[in-house]
Amino acid sequence: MGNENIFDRLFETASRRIAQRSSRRSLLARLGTVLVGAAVLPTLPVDRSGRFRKAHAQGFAEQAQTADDTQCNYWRYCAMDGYLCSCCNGGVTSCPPGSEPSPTSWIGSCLNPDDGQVYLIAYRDCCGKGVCGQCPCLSTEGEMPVYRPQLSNDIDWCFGARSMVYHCTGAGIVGKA
Amino acid sequence: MRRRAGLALLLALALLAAGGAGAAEETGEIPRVSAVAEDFSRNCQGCHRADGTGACRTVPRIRDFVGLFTRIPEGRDYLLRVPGVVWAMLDDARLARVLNWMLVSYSRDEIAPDFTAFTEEEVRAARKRPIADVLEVRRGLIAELQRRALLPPGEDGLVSAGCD
Repeated sequence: MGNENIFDRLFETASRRIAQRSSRRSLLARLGTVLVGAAVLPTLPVDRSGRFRKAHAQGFAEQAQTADDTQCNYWRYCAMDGYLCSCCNGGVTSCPPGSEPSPTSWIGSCLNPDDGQVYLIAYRDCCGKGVCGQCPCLSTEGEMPVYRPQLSNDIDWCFGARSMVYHCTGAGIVGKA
Repeated sequence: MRRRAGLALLLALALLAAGGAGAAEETGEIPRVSAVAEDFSRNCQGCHRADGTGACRTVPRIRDFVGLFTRIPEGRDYLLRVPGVVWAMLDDARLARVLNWMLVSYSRDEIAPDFTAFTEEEVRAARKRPIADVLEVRRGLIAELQRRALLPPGEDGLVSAGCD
């Protein structure tokens, strides 16, 4: 058969060359390395904070600032749902006169754009005084639906306080995550 | 023996982490919380509070209290099956770790002398059997603790002296 295709010949030459130079064992070994690597990689220890940092960096933190705590984009308010105590004669960690801090709070986390660190934040409601109504803010980073109440900001976190009447919300730092 | 070593390690870790996040913001030194303390913060601390004192009549205190439950068999079971534990957004291994950490961090003196640390397997099994009526079960346990004189009458971890 003299009319052999040139591609057939080229391919035959190439595959014979490969077959002469490499063993099937080396192929198995390399393939094995790849397979084991693929299985082990997901189980290696990972930096937990990175997961949150990435999520934070893509969301609220892009527009966040660290200077003015009477604005909704103040960095600690990444999961704030309520009226800012800073706008109600209180502060970011203090309740306005006539209201009292709830003993309970929900814990979220926000990225501080100044130092690139993720901080655990306690969103604490001030209670026992009519609703403040100043500086309403709504951010939902890391927040969960109400059927996960310990991670939800939709509920009145005044439980445990003497009065369930909601006034405003502050944002204290728990620690670096 | 291995379990005891594990408990000792936990104890050491808890002591290291103790003092953690309190009035940090005022002093200007903000601590980095350990992985297990972060799990506690995100899942438990909102209601039980950083100092473990809970809230009068609403949230049971854990400080100087929660370890008492390890002194009766049903109490150990209760700690694993109480709704906040069962539904926590943590896998079984991390949940076991945070429970052990909580016990030694907040209530070391109350833990039963023969207590063995919670294991991942134990947590996994218990999560399949959540307590249905938590208030009734808890009342029963408090009565039993009081009957054994481990708890003074009138003290139930919910309405304590100092409640206003």
